[in-house]
Amino acid sequence: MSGEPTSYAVDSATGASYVLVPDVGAAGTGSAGRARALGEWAVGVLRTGGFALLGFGALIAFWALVTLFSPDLPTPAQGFDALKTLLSSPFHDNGPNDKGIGLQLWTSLQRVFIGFGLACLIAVPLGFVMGASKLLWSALNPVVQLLRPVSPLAWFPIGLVVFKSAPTASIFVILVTALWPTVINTAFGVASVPEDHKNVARVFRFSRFKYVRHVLAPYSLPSIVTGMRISMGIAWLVIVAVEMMSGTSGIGFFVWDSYNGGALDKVVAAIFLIGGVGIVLDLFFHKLQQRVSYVQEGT
Amino acid sequence: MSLEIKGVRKTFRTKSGAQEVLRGVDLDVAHGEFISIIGHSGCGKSTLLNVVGGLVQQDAGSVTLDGEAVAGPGPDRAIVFQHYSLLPWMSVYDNVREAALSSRPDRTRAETDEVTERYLRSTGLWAHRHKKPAEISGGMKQRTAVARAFAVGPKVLLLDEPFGALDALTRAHLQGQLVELWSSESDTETVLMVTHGIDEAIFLADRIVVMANPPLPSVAEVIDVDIPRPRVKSDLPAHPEYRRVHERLVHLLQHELVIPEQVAAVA
Repeated sequence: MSGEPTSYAVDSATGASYVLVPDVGAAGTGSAGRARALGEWAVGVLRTGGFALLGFGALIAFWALVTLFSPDLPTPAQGFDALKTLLSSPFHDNGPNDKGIGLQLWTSLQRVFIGFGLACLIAVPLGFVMGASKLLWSALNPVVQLLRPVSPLAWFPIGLVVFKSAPTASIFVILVTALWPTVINTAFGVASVPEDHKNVARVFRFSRFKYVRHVLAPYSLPSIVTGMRISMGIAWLVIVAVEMMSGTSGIGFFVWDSYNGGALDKVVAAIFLIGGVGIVLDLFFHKLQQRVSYVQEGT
Repeated sequence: MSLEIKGVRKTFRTKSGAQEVLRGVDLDVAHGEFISIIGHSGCGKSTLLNVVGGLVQQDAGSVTLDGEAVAGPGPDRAIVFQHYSLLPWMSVYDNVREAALSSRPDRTRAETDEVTERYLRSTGLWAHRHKKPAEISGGMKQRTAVARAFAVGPKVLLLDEPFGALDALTRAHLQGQLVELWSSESDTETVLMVTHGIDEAIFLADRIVVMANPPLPSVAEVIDVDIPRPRVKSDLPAHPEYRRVHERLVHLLQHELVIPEQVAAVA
């Protein structure tokens, strides 16, 4: 059947068998190696940074070109001036129609965090039971699939009627927005625990609690965090739109208010700031994903 | 008798129809015996192992261990899976310790820790105990799985082609280690090992159970391996008993128990 060697040595007691079983990842790195790694890293940063600059350069060039044909739009220079002005006093508060951009962003972030947080409190347990029970999956998946493609803004009137408050209705819209990706990804993670892992838990008699703690949770955590990352991404998209509708405060209100006041340079500046905050939010969940990920054994 | 398998039948129902994998399997295993189960792919040998392990419920027949019927997994039986089946988010140490902890609530924490350390040391993994499965070689993963099984202190150890995915040198080393563990310090006396390897079966076993494929998936023949222990692998080919068993196995597997594709080719 197989080429068996003609001799072997039992050295289990000493464990001195690493000639046969080479150690993984024990390659030594000297100072020369470290210097070279540092050099490679620097070159890599310069290269990606350089390409990024190239991309932004192209964007600004295109923007400048568009302003030639559409003179009502602010030029890149005007946009950056507005950005500088906004950032020079981000936290001033002179009544509802004159708040610093930092305050407006913070208002929106709070709504997103509350809506997202509540959504997670609902979505993770719901995803767990949907993933664990075929019956609940069959009952709830059609509902999820029907509601998932609906623009969350359609829920705004419902929120207004129920909560009688535009800011609360905005949070409600964010909650609905953030629900679906986390529900679906959690359910998927929980439902796809490999038979191998289940068998280990059965053979070694893991209690129900231990199975959840040591098999189900660590296995599905990467899926859950992926769902949360998508949820957060969409929530940050939707908050701008919903605040344009609700019209009292927040970055979306700021954008709409600036447009109505004819200050398009502020709109452009706000676009860059919204993008920047979005990157930071996404980066946080990216780091979280890396923390909870593990390398699945190849079989 | 320690382990008694009587008239065990199992048929899997799939979309493409019913597949009978075990038809009336009888086998008595004495305390302290090392049994190798050999046969072509699809002869139900892994299913038989899983029935004894309690992972698969037989349709008919019985499995009793020291007079008690086997119903589901239990701490008196531990399985070493073909693909290691370590939990990838746990360290080598935790993989062994958590299994020992939940399988043996009768032990104190200190006893569990002591047993965990003992088997990690005797499998040469103590220095690597903090590593995750992805950071160690296939051989080390399977040693972790073996340590995990021994740490439970089962009466019966079930091995499902444990060394099949390993290179020849690592395999030989692990076979030696397995015999060491089985014959010396452990509480484990009885071993059932499913294998594809003729040499492996002869080297390790007291008796070899040869299983036939469908249409009659059952025990075809049981061969005694009368070679005294401790056995030295390099001396085996010169042993007349080895040659007798080897010839018989080759004859059975290559001529009498033809694999299904060959039947199809003939027909």
